[in-house]
Amino acid sequence: MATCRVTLGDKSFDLERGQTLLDGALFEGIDFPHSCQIGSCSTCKCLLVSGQVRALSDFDYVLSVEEITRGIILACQSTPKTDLEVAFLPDE
Amino acid sequence: MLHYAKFSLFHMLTLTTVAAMLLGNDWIPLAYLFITAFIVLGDAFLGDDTTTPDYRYPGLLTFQLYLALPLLILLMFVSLWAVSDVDHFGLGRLLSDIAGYDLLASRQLTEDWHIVIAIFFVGLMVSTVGTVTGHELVHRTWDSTSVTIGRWLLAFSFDANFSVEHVYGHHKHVATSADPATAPRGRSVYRHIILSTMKGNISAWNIEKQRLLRKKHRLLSFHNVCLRGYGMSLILLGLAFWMAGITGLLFFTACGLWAKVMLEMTNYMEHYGLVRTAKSRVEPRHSWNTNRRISSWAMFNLSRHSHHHAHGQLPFHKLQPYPQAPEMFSGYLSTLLVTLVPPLWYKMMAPRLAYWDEHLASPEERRIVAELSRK
Repeated sequence: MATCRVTLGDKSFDLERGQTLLDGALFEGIDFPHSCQIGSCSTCKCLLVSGQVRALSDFDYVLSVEEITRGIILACQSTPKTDLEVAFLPDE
Repeated sequence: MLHYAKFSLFHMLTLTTVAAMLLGNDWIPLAYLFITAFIVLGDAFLGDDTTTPDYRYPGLLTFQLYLALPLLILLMFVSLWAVSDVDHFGLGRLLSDIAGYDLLASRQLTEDWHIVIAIFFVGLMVSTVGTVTGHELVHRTWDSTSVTIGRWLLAFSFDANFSVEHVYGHHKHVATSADPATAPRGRSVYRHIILSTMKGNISAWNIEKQRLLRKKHRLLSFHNVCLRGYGMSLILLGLAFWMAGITGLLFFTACGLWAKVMLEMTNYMEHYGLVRTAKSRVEPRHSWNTNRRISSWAMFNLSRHSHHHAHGQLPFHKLQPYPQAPEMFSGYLSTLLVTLVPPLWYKMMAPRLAYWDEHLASPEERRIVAELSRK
């Protein structure tokens, strides 16, 4: 299966096309904040700096328009379409 | 092959129900008794299924899920035929000619009490085939076909909007006081059925309202998933009325409500008395689990509930049995029956909750339990 390269801070790893960003990060041993894993709690929200993802659920149920416009995504509901650069959000 | 075939158990149970509704009269209570005994005794004596096969053809499993919709339509069509005086599309005459058994004469012998039993019987199957399968399908938010089929399955119990509340509400708030579907200790199942139904519908509406606001859509518009969900049930009610008049309307309503009651009883037992802080991760300990064989097979591993909540995005065939998770004393239907007798339920749950508090709960969760018990 084709893979995409993900950069997250000073770490980078390969992610399969159908694999979620959260799954890939956890598999790499990254302590990625998460809880429900079905796109309802928003614990795993992060900033998509560059690249494109496929959303597995409707982000509008969880994220505000401003957040979506800023490029915030849910890691547990995002699979890669291209190579990605992602950043954690500062504590709000 | 058995690992694919075992998930056809509910198809078999549905076809048995269809046959009983066609035959009418005493066949209805007999088949209801048989299916109930099969599930309860099967769970009691056939042990657990803790296998985790590697499925090479998951599409076959999805096809089995999709079959639920035509099966449920067939069951409801035959059931409405059974309670009406009309031989729709010549169904009774045709099948009588094929089988050499006069189904129309047999239907004439069906009395009112048979129909009352049929409400509970068909309601059980609407719950099993419609709600359980609908639950699995509406979780597949990335696939609109699955969600649409799932919502139609749920519409038979007036609960298409479960697709909103369950995914975006229940899974977020499970085991906290913010979750309508989690029952606190000491609440009876009867109270829970009313509260969870009302609060669940309100929660779905509020979640959808928030989404529509974000999308800048009007609340009262076709964009409103909840309004469409209620509309789907109204269409089904209209068809029931068209087929069997006011009797059909009442019969469909009663079956759907009983199926909804069974769903709320299921919610009740799945998380009864468990607590979590709003900010902590959902873990296997926040659901009651069972690996009983018949429940697992008939309900597409819904019984592996601890893993389902800890990893809600996984399709049913990837769920693990988690034998170390808090465990129900038997399968789903047996446990549901116990919830109907609150003093017995509290007595059976007390040692399990005590074990949970002492061995599984986090210090923060123990503090919540202590705080709640003082109230």
